[in-house]
Amino acid sequence: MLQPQKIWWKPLGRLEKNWLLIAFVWSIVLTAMMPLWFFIGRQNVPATSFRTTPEEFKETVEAFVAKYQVGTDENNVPIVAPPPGDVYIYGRQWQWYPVLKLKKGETYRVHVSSLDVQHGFSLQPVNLTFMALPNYDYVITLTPTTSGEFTVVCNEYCLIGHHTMIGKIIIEE
Amino acid sequence: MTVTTFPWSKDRSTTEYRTCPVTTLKVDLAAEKLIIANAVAAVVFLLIGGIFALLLALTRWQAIHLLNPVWFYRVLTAHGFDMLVLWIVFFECAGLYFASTVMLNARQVAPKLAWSAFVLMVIGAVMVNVIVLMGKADVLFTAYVPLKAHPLFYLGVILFAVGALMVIGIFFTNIVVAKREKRYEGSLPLAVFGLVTAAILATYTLLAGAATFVPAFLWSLGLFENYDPGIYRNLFWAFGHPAQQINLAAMVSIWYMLATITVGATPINEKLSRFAFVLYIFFINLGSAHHLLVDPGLSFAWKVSNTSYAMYLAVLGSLIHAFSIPAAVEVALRRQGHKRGLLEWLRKAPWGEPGFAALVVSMFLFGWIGGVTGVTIGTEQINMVAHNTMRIPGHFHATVVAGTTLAFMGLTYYVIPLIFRRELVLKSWAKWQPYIFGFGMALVSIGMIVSGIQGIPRRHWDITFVNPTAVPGTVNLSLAVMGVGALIAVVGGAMFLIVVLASVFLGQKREANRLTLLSGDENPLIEHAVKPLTPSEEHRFQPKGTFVIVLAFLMFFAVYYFSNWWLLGRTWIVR
Amino acid sequence: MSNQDEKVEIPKGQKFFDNIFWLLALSILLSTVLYNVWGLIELLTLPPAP
Repeated sequence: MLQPQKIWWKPLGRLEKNWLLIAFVWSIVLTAMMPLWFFIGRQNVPATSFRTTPEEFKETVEAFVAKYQVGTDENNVPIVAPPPGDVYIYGRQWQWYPVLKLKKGETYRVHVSSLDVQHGFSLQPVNLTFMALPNYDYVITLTPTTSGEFTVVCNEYCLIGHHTMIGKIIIEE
Repeated sequence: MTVTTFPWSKDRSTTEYRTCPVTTLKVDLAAEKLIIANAVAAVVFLLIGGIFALLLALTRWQAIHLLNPVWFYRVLTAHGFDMLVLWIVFFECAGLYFASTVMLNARQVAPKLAWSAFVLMVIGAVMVNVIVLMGKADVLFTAYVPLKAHPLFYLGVILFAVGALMVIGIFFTNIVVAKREKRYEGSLPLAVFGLVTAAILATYTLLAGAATFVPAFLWSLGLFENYDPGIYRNLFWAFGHPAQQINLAAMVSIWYMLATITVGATPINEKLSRFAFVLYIFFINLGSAHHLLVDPGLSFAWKVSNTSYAMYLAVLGSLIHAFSIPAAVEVALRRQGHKRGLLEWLRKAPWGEPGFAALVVSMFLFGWIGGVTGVTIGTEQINMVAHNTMRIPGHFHATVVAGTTLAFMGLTYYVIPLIFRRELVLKSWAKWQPYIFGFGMALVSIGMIVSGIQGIPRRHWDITFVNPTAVPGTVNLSLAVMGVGALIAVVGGAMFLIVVLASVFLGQKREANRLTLLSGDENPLIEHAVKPLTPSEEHRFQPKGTFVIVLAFLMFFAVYYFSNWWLLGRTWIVR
Repeated sequence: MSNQDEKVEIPKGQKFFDNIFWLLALSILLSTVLYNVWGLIELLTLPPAP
């Protein structure tokens, strides 16, 4: 339908030029926002990770639990109250382990991984999500700014028990 | 219909073609059969996928909660594959055959090879559906390793992809041959160039698909133990997202086609429109990274460079089309005499013409909901509050369904008289269908997005398992909006299917004698003697109304975008 | 659409945009290097957990 002219490489009209300029400026704004927030924003995507294995990570979590366990919740998951520093959680079909009891305003390096399939570590209702992948230890440097009982929802499909995979994080004042 | 044969200088056989009485284009009969076969396959999978859509919406609408968990995840797998891959790719293959033969007055090369590609695609499509519905591949469309499906699932996907890659090769060959045999002069028509864009993106997509699924197939057979999930995700999304960018390029081409068909629009500046397609070609595949923004193992530099499509140059491409297409429509309508004020052209436009309705509704919903939300949630840091929530399906139902699918539906109404050569029946249904489907899908998207903003996960059977304090009561309302929207959209989808199936099976067999279906002008191509604008016409008919509309769009975009940074700022401190 | 101006030179930009195979090659090259190769290198060079 409709052959173009022999030479279609022609200058732009006034409105086209203006729109192209405005749209380009908007593209620059969009591009600049991410590095800008990287430097001045308080919420940035964690970029510290290590290679691990499910066996190795599980061992690390168990040692961590053994050291700081203070109780057990109603689902028989240990509750741990670690000091600020490295804390560990694994996800597996179909639980998050352990329950962390942390303090508001303190900074924790939360190591997240999976022992089996891919899981989505989704902290609600804060609403922050990170991927928990087997073989990857993802270090999330987190400072809770509100207190209360928070839920860890799995938001990456992990077979039939996926919607029952609910964990907990408690933040004390 | 008179059939003429071409004896070619080199080949031993002859090609039969007919001349379209409406467009005067030469239609290779072999190409026509391929177009029809692929279009029919597309619509069959749209129907199946659409039934699944209804079942899924009625399950996530918590008040109804129709399917049990096993069937929810199973149907979700099938729905994703049938819609995102089968409906859309079969339709695009029909479009590729059309663009590389009919639109160029050229012949279809190697029809037998093209048919074997079609057969491969159908076999793959059926294999995947059967194995999924048998319960042996409850892994969802993404099939994220280490979730493991039956080997026949991966094999089915591979066969489909090989068939599709063959179609891409045949498409490029058609064009090369057409050029060599001087079937057309100068550059390819713009809409064909847009489909060339789609085919270029498809080449990368399908090669990435092979790189992803061939190892997955071997892994599922037990030939090796560990398929690293990070590597899989990188490869899968090199297939999964560019697959959607193919749809974008094809949809934009079809928008140009619908603008030409319904109001006789021509591009106001071919260089600008083609430049926008070239921006897609170079940069749009990088956006795959937006699926990996909260993944371990990847740096800020990689995430930001890729998710931004290299400084948002691919987004610039879309912003150009967002102006160029309405501008072309505006100029065409101003030339027809509707030149009062800023927006008389819009008021006097043929809103009752199905293709025009589909064009406008599809562009509006794709841009204002799909595009704006997509760029926003694809921003590295903002993704932390959006990843795997229902904002994701909210975004892509606005792009792929309200946008691409509706545009494809709009074009189909013209394919029926022009290629199937049947009278379109139930034309009044066709008139309303784009509005009903669009409205329904808008509600679906908005319901999903609002649920997602509240943290509700996607691909999740029952949110009530979650602690009540984490799930606001307003979520039930937004999920219900999604559910009601789905019912309306299904009515819109059913209207389309009924019009199309009734026309193909019961419509009167006859040669088309007009281009438009319902609006006054029978053939804008000829009536308005559509020629490129003369310099004095260019000066007189300026797309001022469009300029105001796109400025308003940009302001909406900015407000939505910056609100999301504000939302992010209210969460915990994280790095 | 007429052949009256046979001798007019086609602008380089137009010729470039018309060259499907260069566009295809550059598309695949850019995507593969910037997204796949760079990303896979980052994954494959992750340090082991301390």
